[in-house]
Amino acid sequence: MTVEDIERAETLLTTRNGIDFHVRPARPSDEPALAEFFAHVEKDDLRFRFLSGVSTVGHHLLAMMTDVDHDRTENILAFDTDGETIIASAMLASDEDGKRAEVAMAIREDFKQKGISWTLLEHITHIAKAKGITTLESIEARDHHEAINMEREMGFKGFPMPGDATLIVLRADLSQH
Amino acid sequence: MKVALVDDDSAVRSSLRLLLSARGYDVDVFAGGQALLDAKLGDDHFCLLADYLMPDIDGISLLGELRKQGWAGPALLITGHFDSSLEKRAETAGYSAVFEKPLRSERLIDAVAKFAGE
Repeated sequence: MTVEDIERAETLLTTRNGIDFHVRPARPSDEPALAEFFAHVEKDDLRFRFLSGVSTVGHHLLAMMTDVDHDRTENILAFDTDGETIIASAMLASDEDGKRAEVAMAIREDFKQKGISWTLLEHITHIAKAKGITTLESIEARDHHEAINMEREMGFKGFPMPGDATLIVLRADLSQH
Repeated sequence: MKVALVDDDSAVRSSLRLLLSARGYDVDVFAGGQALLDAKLGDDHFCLLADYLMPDIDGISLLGELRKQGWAGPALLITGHFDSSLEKRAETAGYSAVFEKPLRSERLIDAVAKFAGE
């Protein structure tokens, strides 16, 4: 499978607890569903996701997150089995030479604690590897213990964020696997 | 709807671009002020993040030139050497705020989010 195949195809994923969900890249027509999704993300999780105090996600940001270039930036959306409800989003952004990328994820409040983040992050890691990315990072608020613990379990290592003591960089080396 | 980012330091450029893109912002990156002036900012650039000290043109003169070109969007200045006289000059030139390096990411992203109308 080429990178394009992996990215474009709608894929069925199953969590370790046996929960099925579909993933595919975002497209501009997803904007209303993504707005609905962020309306169901807990306030703290919004802060963790955007690293800012935004309380609602407005049209401009939604438009940027659904109309992505699918090259340096990709937004993978996870859908419930109804095919309509967005239950998670994972944004993957890579640097100019395509070797380092950052992932930022968010999950709908009523779909937390089901292993979806874990399975989605595994999927993003596969996409990143297929794109030739060798370093995958996730920048987290230091009080976002759930995400930090999950990423450490998945083999990410923690580093200080240069110049910002409130954040931590979780970094995975994809070149060795 | 894009953020225009100009900094001659490739490490800052790369980190800020990644940080903003992973949060959903589309970012156009420039390695120097002249490159940005040559490319010209349009209505689709909703804000500018500019480093103050750059070899070809400093951040304050850059915004002056952009205003002459007709770009009227909001701008944030980034500097490694903050002082109150620079802050005054930045305000006079049209900058909304000055951020000192090392950057506090949350404050910077908050400011960008406000400009995006979030």
